[in-house]
Amino acid sequence: MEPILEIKGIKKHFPVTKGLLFSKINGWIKAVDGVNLSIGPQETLGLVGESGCGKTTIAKLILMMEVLTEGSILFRGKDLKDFDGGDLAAYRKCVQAVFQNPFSSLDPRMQVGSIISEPLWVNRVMSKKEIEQRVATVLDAVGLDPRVAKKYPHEFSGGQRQRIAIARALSSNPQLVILDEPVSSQDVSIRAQLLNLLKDLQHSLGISFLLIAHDLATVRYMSNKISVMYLGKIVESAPCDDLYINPLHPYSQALLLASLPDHPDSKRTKSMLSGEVPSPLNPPDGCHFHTRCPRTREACSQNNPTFKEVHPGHFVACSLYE
Amino acid sequence: MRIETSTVLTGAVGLILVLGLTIMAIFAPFIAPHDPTAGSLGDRLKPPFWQDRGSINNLLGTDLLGRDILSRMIYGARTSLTISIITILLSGIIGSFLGIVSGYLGGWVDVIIMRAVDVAFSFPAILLALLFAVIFGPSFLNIILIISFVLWATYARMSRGETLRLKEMDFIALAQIAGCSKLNIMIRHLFPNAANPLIILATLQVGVVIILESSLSFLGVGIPPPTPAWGAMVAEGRSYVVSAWWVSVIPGVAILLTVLSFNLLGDALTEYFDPSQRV
Repeated sequence: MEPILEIKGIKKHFPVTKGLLFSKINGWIKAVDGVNLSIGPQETLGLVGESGCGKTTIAKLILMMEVLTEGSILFRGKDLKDFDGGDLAAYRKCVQAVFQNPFSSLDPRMQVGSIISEPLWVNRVMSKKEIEQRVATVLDAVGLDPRVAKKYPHEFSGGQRQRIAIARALSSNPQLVILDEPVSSQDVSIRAQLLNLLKDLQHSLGISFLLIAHDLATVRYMSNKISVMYLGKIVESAPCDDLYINPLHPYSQALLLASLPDHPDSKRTKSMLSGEVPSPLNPPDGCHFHTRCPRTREACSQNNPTFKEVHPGHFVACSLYE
Repeated sequence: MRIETSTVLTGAVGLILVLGLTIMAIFAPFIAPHDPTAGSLGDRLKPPFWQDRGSINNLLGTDLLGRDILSRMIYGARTSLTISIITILLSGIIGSFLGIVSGYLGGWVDVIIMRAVDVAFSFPAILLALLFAVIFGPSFLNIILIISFVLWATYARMSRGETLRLKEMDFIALAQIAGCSKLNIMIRHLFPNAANPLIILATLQVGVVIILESSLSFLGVGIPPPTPAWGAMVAEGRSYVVSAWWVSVIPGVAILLTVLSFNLLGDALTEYFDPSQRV
């Protein structure tokens, strides 16, 4: 099946400038430094990594909020760079997003109904009556009373606001929804509700998700396949269960060890990792991870490991597997 | 939402005074006992009714041309309020939009508009207004344009500040993702959310406009006679401040009360729209 979204060798480097008027470029923040991803129809790709590894930058690149330094992003086979006006308008309907903070995602001055239908009236696709109908449908789909459309955001709790944000993301019947930490600001009980809602919606509407998160339990629950990111590069990519059962890259192993155990009585293992994430301004030579890797060798500080398929569908970039 | 009693009282007093002034201005022809421009020299400089030579015919006395002070004061409210409202709408809307454009688009647009704001701020308002009034000549329209030109920068600076705060919010990014054009985002999202402090500013600016207009009238380059304007009235009575105090003082009190009432209203609104209750 043709993937909905294909990301090939993308790089995003932010210049660091010095000086006010005639600024000089001092260095580059390599937020994304050569990433390949693909998402198929009705599939969830989980993207995990520490804060600052570049996950959100990838989301912004897909949503065209930032411009690529290198590489290409293809939506249904067409490169985003080659989009004309009509393509762009269609893209805006097909790809939506839900962000982390439900308190800044909704315009406090707008009624819920208007917020939800914004993707519709911006593109002028439907009549007023049709829009109202669509809003009611979508509110129902996320488990909210359609009468909520006349109310304002401040009348709702965080969890309800996220539902409204999800409803908005669904209103234009998208094929892909970028979920950037959609539940991390919610209580655990609300998290479960929202995740189940998202899963149901995926099943009934056939949407694909790019799920960006740092909570491994969330990612495991939702994803079909997962990519692990470190300092702008993907270090491992595998179908969901494969990754959890058999993590290959030392970083993935460390992440999994660091997550909370299933049972409160089981012991928490001490962290495998030492030190902090290096600055993206000056990443380590060779394999970016070698400064913190418990299994680093001589070669790791010199050579950049290639991204290889070690088992079917299971890719890893580590000298241990070369 | 807790509202302090003091806020409510301040706001109520301000609002009542403002409404009173507005009613007075609108219904001037029905309230004023006399024609503000008609006067006979035989009646000149009669004091208010509570003093010796005063009469109930001219409750607040007459000026040096025999015109009824009370009537002129009532009609003067028309002048002041009309000019204030039009000026504030003009300078407020244009200034606010320039500020939003500056804040949202950034780059060279921002630099140019902000330098213009700096220039506007570097001149004392009254001096600039005086200069333009002398160059372009006083007329109703000119006064409005002049004062607008002097005051737009205040709104621009404030709305730019609000825009910088707002543009980082997720709902702006989401609007962009939904396909909203930049103009759409500015009109539908930025402007309504920046509105509160701008409304408060506008309320407080009424006082500034009235004082500017009155100062220009006082200096002789304001609204041309015979239209009654409080500032001009104050000027007319300059030479008689001791002997016929009412000619200058009554319009002066009118200016004071008007500016005070709008300031009270603005203060109450400021407290009501406390930042801690904002986004």
